[in-house]
Amino acid sequence: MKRIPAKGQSAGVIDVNVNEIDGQNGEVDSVVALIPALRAFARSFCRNPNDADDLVQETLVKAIANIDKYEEGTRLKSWLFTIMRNTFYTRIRVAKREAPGDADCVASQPIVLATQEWTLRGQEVEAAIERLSPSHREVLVLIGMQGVSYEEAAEICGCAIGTVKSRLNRARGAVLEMLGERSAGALVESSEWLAGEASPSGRVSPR
Amino acid sequence: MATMSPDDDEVRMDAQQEAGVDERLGTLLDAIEGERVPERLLKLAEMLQDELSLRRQRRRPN
Repeated sequence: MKRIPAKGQSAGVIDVNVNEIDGQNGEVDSVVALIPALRAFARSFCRNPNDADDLVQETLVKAIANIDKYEEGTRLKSWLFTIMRNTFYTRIRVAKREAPGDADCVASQPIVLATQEWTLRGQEVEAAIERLSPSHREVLVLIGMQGVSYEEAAEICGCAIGTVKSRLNRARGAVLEMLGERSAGALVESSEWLAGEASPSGRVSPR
Repeated sequence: MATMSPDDDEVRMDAQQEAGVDERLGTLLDAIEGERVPERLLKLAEMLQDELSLRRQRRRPN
């Protein structure tokens, strides 16, 4: 795996499996190469890896069904992320309508542990991400983990670039704080924010 | 000659720490990349790629 700067990016890098894309079946494998990124983004919505894979599946099915809406020149990854996010929040809205008293529907479901690999290698970070509010978590995963640009993240999340930057800074700060690595001077602001913005469940509630 | 105030030092330290967060996030992505991809997702990804290729061919027949 090789990390290369992605076109039009202002933050971080994007992972591209060069061997797969450069290979004879590059056309076929380029979407396949996006699967880990899709699975990672899905896990910012669903802690259960099986649920996350179901969300990836639904995203790909919708992408195929709506292929005519894909505009050439748009980054496929961003388009798929947008579909995934919309799919997830549509599910939440439907669940709220069907069971108004159970707003934190996913949070109230039994949570199974993530895969052993994920848990062992990133236990502390994962736990910290889990405690972020959904809107901060998705920005951190998009930009911090996946190297999506501020502009693309703003488009995917349907908000202003300034909002994205602010959420990213606060999310990083909160994670550092939870990991016990934040400088004392920065703790006051982020702890006030964490208390004020994180949902009680720390998951699912749409903005 | 530029001097560095304690504030500058703190900001720079925060930037380093925040880069460290991204690095750790990257390990989570690496872990997912190391996982086996379910067949159902592979098939759908290939179907999507086929659809994209077909669409591209239709738009650029030559």
